[in-house]
Amino acid sequence: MFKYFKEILSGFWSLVVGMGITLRYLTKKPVTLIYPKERLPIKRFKGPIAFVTDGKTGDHLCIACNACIKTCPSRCMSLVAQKSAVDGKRVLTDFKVNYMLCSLCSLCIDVCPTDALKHDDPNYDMVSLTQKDLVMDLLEPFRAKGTPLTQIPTVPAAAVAPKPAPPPGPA
Amino acid sequence: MTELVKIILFGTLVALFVSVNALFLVWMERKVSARIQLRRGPLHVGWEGLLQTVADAVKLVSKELTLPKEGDKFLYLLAPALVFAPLLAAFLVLPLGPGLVIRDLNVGFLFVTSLTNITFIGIFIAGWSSNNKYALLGSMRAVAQNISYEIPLLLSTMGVVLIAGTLKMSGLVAAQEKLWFAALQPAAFLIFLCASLAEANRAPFDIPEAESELVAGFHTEYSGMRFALFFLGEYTAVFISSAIATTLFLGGWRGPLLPGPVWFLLKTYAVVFVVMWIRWTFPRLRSDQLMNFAWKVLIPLGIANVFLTAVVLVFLK
Repeated sequence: MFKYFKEILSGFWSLVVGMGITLRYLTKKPVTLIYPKERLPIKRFKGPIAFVTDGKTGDHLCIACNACIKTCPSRCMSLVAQKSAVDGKRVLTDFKVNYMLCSLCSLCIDVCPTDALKHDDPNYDMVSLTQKDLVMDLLEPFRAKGTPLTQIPTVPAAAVAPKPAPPPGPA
Repeated sequence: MTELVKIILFGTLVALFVSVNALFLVWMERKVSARIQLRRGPLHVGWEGLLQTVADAVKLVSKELTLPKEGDKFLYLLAPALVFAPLLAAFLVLPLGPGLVIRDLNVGFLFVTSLTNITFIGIFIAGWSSNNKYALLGSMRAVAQNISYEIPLLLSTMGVVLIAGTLKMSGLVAAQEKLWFAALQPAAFLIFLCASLAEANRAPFDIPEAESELVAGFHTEYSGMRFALFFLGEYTAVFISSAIATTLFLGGWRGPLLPGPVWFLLKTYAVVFVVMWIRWTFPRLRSDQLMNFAWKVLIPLGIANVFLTAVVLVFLK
C-alpha cells in the first residue's frame, strides 16, 4: 500500500519535472534562422573565388602575374592586364572566374604571391538560372566602389601589345 | 417562430465558433510545439503564420475524396458526421457568462459526456468501415480506452457535484463564488484533466491514432474534407473538455474586472495550453500502461476522493 502511493507520488513528481523542462524551453529564444532574411556567417567555407580587400587602401592586391591562371587545373580563370598610361606598369583590367568549371581546389589561393585571392565564405547560396551569372567578374565590386587601382588610365591594348596574352578563359 | 430563429441563430454562431476555434487551436498547437522544440512554427502566411491553417483548410477542401474499395460505403460516409455532430451539441450547455447559456439543462455536463460518447461509436464505425487493419486496430484501441477513462472522468466530477449539490452548469459556477473547486478538490481536478485528455484522444493517450504504429489510426483511409472533420472534431473536443474543466473546477466565467465571456475564454484557452504543453512533453503510453493507469491509479483515487468528500460533507452538516 505504501509502495503504491510512493509510486504514484514519485511518478507525478517526474511528470512535473518534465513539464518544468519544457516550460523552460518554451521561454527560450528559438534557434531557427529565417534563412533568406537572416544568415549565419560560415567560417572556412569554400565559397567561390574572390579578391581579398586590402584593409588600408580598400583595393585588391592582384599584380596580374598570371600565376593563378597557370596553376588552375580546370582552366577556369582568365585575366587581362594593360599598360598604365601614367607610369607604364602592368594594370589589371579584367579578371574573370568561370564558376561552372571551378573545382574549388584552392590552388590559385595557395600560389598567389600577394595573397590576393580567397574563398568567399559568406557566399554560400550560389545558385543561378543562367550561365552568365556564374562567370564572375572579380573586379566588379572594386569598379563599383571606384578604388584607386581601377581608376588608372591605360594605354589601349592594340597600341602597345606586341604579345597580348590570350586568356584561356571560359570554354 | 422565435424559437426557430433562436435555433438557427445559435446554430450558426456555434458552427462559426467551432471552425474559427479549430483554426486557431491548430495554429496555437503548432506555435506551442515549435517553441517547446526551439523552433519558430508557422511564420509567413499572415501575422506570425496565423492564416497558415486557413491555407491548409483550403488545401484539404480541394483534395480528392477517396473511397476504400472493400469498405462499407454507407458507414464510411456516416462516421465523420457521427464523430463531429455530437460535439456541436455540447455547446448547448456551456455557460459563457451570467445568463449566457443556450440551454441551462438540469443534467448539465452529464449531457455533454453522454453525447460525446456517441463520438466513440463514430470512431469505431470509421475504423470498421475503412476495412483497413490499421484503422480497425486504432478504433478498437479507442473504444477500449474510452470505456476505461469514462469512469475516472465521471468519478472525478462527483466530488464537485457533491459539494455543489447540483449538476446544472450555472449552479456549479454559482457554488464557486468564494473558492474554486480546483482548490477544494485538487486530486479530482488532476484526475479530470488526465481522463479528459484520454477522452479527447490526445497525447500522451493518443494510442488510437498513434502515427508511428498505426499510420493514422481510425482515420487512415479518410481524405480531404472528411479527414478535416475528424481533425475539427478532435480540436473541438479539446476545447469542450477544457471548457468543462473551467466550469467545474476553475470558477467558470467568474473573475474580476473583465466581463464573464472573456474570463471564460481566457481560462479555457489556458487549460487548452496546458493540454498542449502536456502533449509536447510526454511520450505516448503503451496500451497496457494506459489501462493500468486508468484502472489501478485513476479509478481508485477517484473513488477515494468521492468517499472522502462525502465523509467530510456529512461531518460538516
